[in-house]
Amino acid sequence: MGEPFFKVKDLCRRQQVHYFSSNYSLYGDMSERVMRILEHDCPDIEVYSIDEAFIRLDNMPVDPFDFCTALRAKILQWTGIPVSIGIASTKTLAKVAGDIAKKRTQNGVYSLLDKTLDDPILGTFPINDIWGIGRKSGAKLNQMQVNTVADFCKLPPFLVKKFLTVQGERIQRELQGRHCHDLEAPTARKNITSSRSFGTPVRELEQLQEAVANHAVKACVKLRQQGSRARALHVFLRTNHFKPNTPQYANHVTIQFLHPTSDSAQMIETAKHAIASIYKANYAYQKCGVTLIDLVDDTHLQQDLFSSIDYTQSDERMRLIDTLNAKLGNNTVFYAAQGIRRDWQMKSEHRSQCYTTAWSDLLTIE
Amino acid sequence: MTQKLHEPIRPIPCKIGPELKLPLFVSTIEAGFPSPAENTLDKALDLNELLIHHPEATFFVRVSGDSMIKAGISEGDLLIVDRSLSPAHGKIVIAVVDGEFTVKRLELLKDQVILRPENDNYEPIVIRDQQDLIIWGVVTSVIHNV
Repeated sequence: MGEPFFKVKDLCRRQQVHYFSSNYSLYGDMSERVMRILEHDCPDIEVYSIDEAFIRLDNMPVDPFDFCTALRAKILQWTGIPVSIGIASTKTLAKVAGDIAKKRTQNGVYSLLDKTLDDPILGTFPINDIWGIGRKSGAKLNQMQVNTVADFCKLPPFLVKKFLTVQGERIQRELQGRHCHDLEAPTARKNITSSRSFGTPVRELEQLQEAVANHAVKACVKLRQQGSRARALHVFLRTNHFKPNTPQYANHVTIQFLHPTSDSAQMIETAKHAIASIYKANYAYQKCGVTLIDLVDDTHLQQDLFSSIDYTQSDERMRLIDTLNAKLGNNTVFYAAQGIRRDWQMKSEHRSQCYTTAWSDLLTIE
Repeated sequence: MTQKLHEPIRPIPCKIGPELKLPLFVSTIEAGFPSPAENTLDKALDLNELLIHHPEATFFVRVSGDSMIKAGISEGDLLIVDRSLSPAHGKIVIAVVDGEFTVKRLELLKDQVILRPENDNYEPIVIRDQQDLIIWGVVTSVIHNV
């Protein structure tokens, strides 16, 4: 698992290990390139996370294995990113196949299409590593002597439902090759979260308010990008639950707006009040964040002739700020509440350059 | 305007994707004299369209030094690099030799690979068996500010 860098700093120096801070701009750009290549060649695709996607192959006139081998080669050549591709009849099995492809194949592609649960590799796959089986469910199953996919699939369905609910039942069905999860069509997000752990624990309310103001702004930018407004704002904070010996406190609050909004200033004010209302002194907070919930499509609002709210001024202001920041850089215009020094931020002392998203960061070649 | 019976129908090329862009013609069809602007498309010229053919595989790099000056590549220039193109003899490429990036003209000979500079003050890089060579991408354009 992960270790804080300062604990391994000396080891890295001695063994000449290269280390980098997270570079989300670079990762995001590279991820988008890979996903766009997939979208060209695969009409049915669901982008699942920054580095995972599901693609549907059964409605294409291709041999799945050959197609995926060529796809992997194309992605590698076009972007330099080596991906692993798992092929199966259900999403859950495809994730298993992907894991096997990553860890056990040379060419990065693996198919479970012609394999049954009798297959040794599939059968002995640890149930704890299955998509949808979390730590607690995994522990429950292990206590029942269920450790592998084969063990799990031998359980009678009513038992699976009893201990793991209907979700567990679905997982079992998918592992048995009967698909339950169709590809999800891309929709506007139903809620938008911005949160981050602190570089060093934060004790003061002012700093928390500064952090939460920044999260509010970030989330609002995404909100406006997808043409929505939020009807409610959820704010949370918590101490470090990986240090159970230190005083623990976590809390959250949801605030509903009178009218749906996407105005950053209003969001900041609300978020600051919200976090002040749940703040308790003398705790070392490790993380805070905001989630914009109950989102409503802006076009639906505009069409409401009886709406008494005039968004014009606020929208114009937001549009100006968004345009300036898009043109001149992310932090060109920011609210005073976001702070200037922002000491609570993630330390990126060793971040690599944004080779693909900042003109100033291009690779220089002789 | 008379309509010939067997006039060939020329399809307008368009990209199939989630969004289908169709060209917009400026003028409506009117009876009378055809306007000289009738066949123009109402769209501003876009450098991205001109210079970037495979956006997912296109990267920008900055040039330092003058090893490729005779090819029109100067210090400080911006290079557009396309990884989707196949490297071929005579192309200017970004290569990685023993872990170091360089921009040179690729020469694929019968029994040798040479990375040739375009400046008489520089020696060509002859790739030896033990060396590690990756052709990172093909340079398609140079952007030089005057």
